[in-house]
Amino acid sequence: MELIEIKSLKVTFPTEAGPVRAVDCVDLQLGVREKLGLIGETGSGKSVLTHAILRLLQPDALCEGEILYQGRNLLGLAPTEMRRLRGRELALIPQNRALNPLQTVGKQLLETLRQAGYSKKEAAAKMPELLRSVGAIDPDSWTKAYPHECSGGMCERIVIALSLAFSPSLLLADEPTKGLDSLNRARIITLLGAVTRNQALLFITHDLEAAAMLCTRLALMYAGELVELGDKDTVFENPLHPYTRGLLFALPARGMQPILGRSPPLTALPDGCRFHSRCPGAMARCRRQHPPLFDTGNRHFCRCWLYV
Amino acid sequence: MVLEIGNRYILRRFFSGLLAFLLSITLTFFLLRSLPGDYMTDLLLEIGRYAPPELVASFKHEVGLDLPLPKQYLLYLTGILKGNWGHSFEYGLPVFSLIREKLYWTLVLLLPSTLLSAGLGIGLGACSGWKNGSKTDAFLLHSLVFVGAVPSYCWGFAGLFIFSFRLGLLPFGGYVSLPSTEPAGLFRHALLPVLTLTLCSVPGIYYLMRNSMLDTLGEDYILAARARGFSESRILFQHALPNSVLPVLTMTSLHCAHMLAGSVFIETVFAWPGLGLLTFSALEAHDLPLLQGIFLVDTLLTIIANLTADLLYPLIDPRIRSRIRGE
Amino acid sequence: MNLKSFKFRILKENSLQPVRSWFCLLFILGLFLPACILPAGASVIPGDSSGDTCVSDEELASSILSHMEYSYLGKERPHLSAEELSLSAHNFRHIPYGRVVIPVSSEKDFITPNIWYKMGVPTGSLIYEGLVTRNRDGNYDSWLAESWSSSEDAKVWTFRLKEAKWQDGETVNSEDVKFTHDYLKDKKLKLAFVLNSVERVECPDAQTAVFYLENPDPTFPDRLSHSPGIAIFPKHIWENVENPASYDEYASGDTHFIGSGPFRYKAAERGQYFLLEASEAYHGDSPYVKEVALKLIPDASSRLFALQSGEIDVLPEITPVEAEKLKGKDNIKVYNIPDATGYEIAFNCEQFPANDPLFRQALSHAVNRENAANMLGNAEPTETVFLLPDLAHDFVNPDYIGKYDYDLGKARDLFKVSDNFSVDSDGKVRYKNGDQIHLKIPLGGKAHMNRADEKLLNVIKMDWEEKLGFDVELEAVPEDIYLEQIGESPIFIDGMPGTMHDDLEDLNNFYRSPAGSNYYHYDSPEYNRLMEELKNTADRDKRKEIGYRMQAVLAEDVPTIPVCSTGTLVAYRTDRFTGWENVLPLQAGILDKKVFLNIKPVSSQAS
Repeated sequence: MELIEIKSLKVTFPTEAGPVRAVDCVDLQLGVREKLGLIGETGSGKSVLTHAILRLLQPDALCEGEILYQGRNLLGLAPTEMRRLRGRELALIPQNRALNPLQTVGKQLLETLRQAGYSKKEAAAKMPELLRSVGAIDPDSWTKAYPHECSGGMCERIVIALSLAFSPSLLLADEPTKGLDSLNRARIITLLGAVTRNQALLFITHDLEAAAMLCTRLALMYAGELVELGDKDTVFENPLHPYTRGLLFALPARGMQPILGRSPPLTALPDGCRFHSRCPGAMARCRRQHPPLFDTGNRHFCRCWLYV
Repeated sequence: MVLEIGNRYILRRFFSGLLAFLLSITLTFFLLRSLPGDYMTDLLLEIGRYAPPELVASFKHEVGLDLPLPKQYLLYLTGILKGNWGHSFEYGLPVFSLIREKLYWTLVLLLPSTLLSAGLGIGLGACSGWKNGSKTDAFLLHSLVFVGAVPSYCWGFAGLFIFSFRLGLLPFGGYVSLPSTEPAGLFRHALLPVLTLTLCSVPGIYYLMRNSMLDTLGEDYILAARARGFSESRILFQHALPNSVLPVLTMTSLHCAHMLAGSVFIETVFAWPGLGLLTFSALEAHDLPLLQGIFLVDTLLTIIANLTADLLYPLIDPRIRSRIRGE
Repeated sequence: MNLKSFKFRILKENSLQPVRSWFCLLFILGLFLPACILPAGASVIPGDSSGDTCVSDEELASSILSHMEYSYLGKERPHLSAEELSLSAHNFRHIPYGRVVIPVSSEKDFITPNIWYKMGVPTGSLIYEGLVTRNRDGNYDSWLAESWSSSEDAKVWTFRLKEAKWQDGETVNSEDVKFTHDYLKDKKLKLAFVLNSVERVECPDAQTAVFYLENPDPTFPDRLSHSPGIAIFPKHIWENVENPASYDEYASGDTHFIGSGPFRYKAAERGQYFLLEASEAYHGDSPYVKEVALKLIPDASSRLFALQSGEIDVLPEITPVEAEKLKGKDNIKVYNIPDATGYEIAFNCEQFPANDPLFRQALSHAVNRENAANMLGNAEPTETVFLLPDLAHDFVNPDYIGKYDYDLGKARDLFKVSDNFSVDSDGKVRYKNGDQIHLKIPLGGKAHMNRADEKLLNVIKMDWEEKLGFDVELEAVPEDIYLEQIGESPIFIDGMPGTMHDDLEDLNNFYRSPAGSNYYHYDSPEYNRLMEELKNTADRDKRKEIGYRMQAVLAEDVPTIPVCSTGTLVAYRTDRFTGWENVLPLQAGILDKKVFLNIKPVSSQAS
């Protein structure tokens, strides 16, 4: 059985300019201990997707479809039930190393451990262990520090430690490597790989290489839609969607050729394929008709008219 | 804790405060002397006479206004240092004791109303920001926009009209009743002005708090706290509130210092002889020593409020604390 | 699309517009509905069982008799109210009763004996007295002085004192008079300028004080009377005060507020109230009111509230607009004290074109005094050649009343006669060379209070610009350079607030001494000669005759155009005290001993 199964999820926000659909008909499955990389540009809807899973979107956001977690639809749960799942079962590593600036690392860890059900004593005992597991050599000096006194890599480790306090079965990591230098990025990715040996991981990033290092499957999002989904090796060796190809060619190892143009704003999506204005091989059909997600076999899916 | 902040920081704040003080009193000294009109001319106009020039001259000589400006300035500075702030023309009393007395009455209004309005403003602002977009938020926002849009003077009047004039529940201004009339304590006398002052300060603090709360709620650590399954009240009181209240506290302390001389309207409506009313009448009468004293006290209090905020902030906010240590 | 921009939307204005409007409505309704439904508190007069605000003999008898009846029958009697007893005592024995509360607008209106305040000490103070006082009939009333006389040359003035006591029981004697003079001059108090002409004061005996003047002064009693006048201080108190200018009289309380007047200090709170009570030691008739309270209410609208609620009993110096608001209200009456402030259009007789007498005469015909007075509200046009005729009585020369009526035709005729001007066919006046007449009038000084000068000049300006073709420019001028400005301006506006001295003394304003000048830069040899004669004449009839001749000169030369005079409007509560209108104070405002000696509590009228 899949650990989590997302079925035709649509997320709509009411705005001044009318409703905006940030996530459109996304279907995803994630097995136990499976590691999925969710890749897309800023605004492609990947963060919204994770927040939708945790039901952390603003109250007036409209979520349609189903998110089945161990067979239960998360979207239908009562708020208190949902709250019990958060942290314990579904943990989030948020963007921007989110730590309360007014509290010491120790205090925040303690609070989280207490929330995870440990007594005060246990929590105090667990804290150094937890910090060591994310690579702290001197946990005591870490606990006394304030967030602004820590380096970026250190903060990221603390945030990972915070989300591991519960030992959740699914970890949603929202761009954990954003803004880190390459050395720290590699370390964090290694760390993530190590600590999630027994957990499923939804790794959100715009960094293909990082995703490749960590994940077994990759999903690519563009303008709120999944455009390609497949095993890591398949996608890397045989990228189907022109967007995926573009991203791969933009990698330093493959020539660093950026994709021209910008992704369309969600408030003014074009007719037809949402990528057609940037697509080098756009056809007449692409301008008129919106492509569905085609199964190209070998658990590989792609949203492009090339694969009818 | 203070030692931890570092003596150098305190010393530097202190000296910058002193510099601001000197600059400000110098400025007021020369500004006041460039005001048109003089005390004697005004006084005599009130009884319908033009002042005989020799009377004006002898008065100016008596109080030292005929000396060259630099000399007056020097005398003024040495006077301040010696604690001699001069005598008011109008009241014939030492400026310092006069201001002390009026300041007391101003503070009787200002302190409770600051505490009340800070409490109310922060509470309502936090509630409004926390429940952003809800009916409560809309209700609070609109009622406080309305409250803030009506001048303090009108609120004072509405209060007087209803509670004193129509209902006869509260006395008609002042801080004491005439002897052997209905015995109203200071509390009943101060109630209306304090409430009016509070009513007028709440919207400002409320807006600030609401915005600050909205900003804080947009922060990722709030999202992270939610994702960890913390209860809503825990998120509000442990994370959102402490972070969003910081800028509001500083603003409130400065606002308080500003209000010292700024509540003229309230003081007029409620016949409350505080510093605002004193400033007003001193300006009207060209009572130079008194004006100088008032501005001196205003400057001092503003600088002290700033200094206190500067010194308190590192105690509350660890980020500033380490920035200072870094210096 | 960035998530953050979705997260928190600030509420949109338009979506909640209807909410706001009903909300405001509710707010306002909530505020004022309860206030409108509930009645205002009414004051109850003890003993007044019929509620007609008067306590009749019958009412009084029944209220007292009922108590007596109970005591005869040996029954348990209801509590005997001290209020009722004091009222009955007042009604039968004229023991002062009741407290009259008057608002003051600023702290300096409280009585301060060491620094003179608004209207001068002796008239405006209820505690302190002078020697004599002027009345509105042009005569003098005695205060501390029983009688007074001057030498033939009006250089030596002898005052005989009444048998009076200071409020602490000490006897008032002539040493106090001498002390007051010496103290003012020794301590260089501002008030001392009133006594500039006094060389010395001698005390031949305890009841006689003699003032020796350096120059003859037939109007010396007037000088002592008011505006500011000189009050007599108790020597035994003030000789111990080293530095009166910086002396805090509140700190020493009742011991230092010792005067000889009808009211004595009872209590005070700086910046709040000043409470006086009737003095038993007063040498004249004792007042009908027991207490007078001055209460600080700085805000004008609050004062109106206070009067309507009964918090205060009288409200002096209200504006015509406020008077209109109060008219018709229950238990409130408004009256006018005439001739408080006079307004004139004055010329600088040395500046072109005002140096042309024909120009001045012509403009005298071109001022619509009726309209100007209407503009100010409670004002009367002035038809004489100098200001305040109501106080001047028979000193006004009847030949010149209404000489310069409003008649633009006459004005044009006078312009035609002049060498400096010409009048074209549509009646527009030009300079001979064809230039337009440009007049710049500075605004400021005494006439500027309540912006009366602006209101008046706007009426006059319209006439002069439309009908005579002038170009009139009004310019507000800061107080300190105002005097300089009017020295350079051919035409300006002036006011004479409230306090007037000896009527003919006002003619001194046009006198040019050999050394000095006057505000009008007016210099007529004949007038100057007459003024000098007037100054050395003590006899009333002779003075009057000289005054007539001086007015004849003024009527010809027109150094000024008197326009109108305003009164002081006073509102009072009819259910509290009566008699306000019986005695008119000498000056603006009602703080006048005579007024407060005259008013009675309403309930005492019946007895």
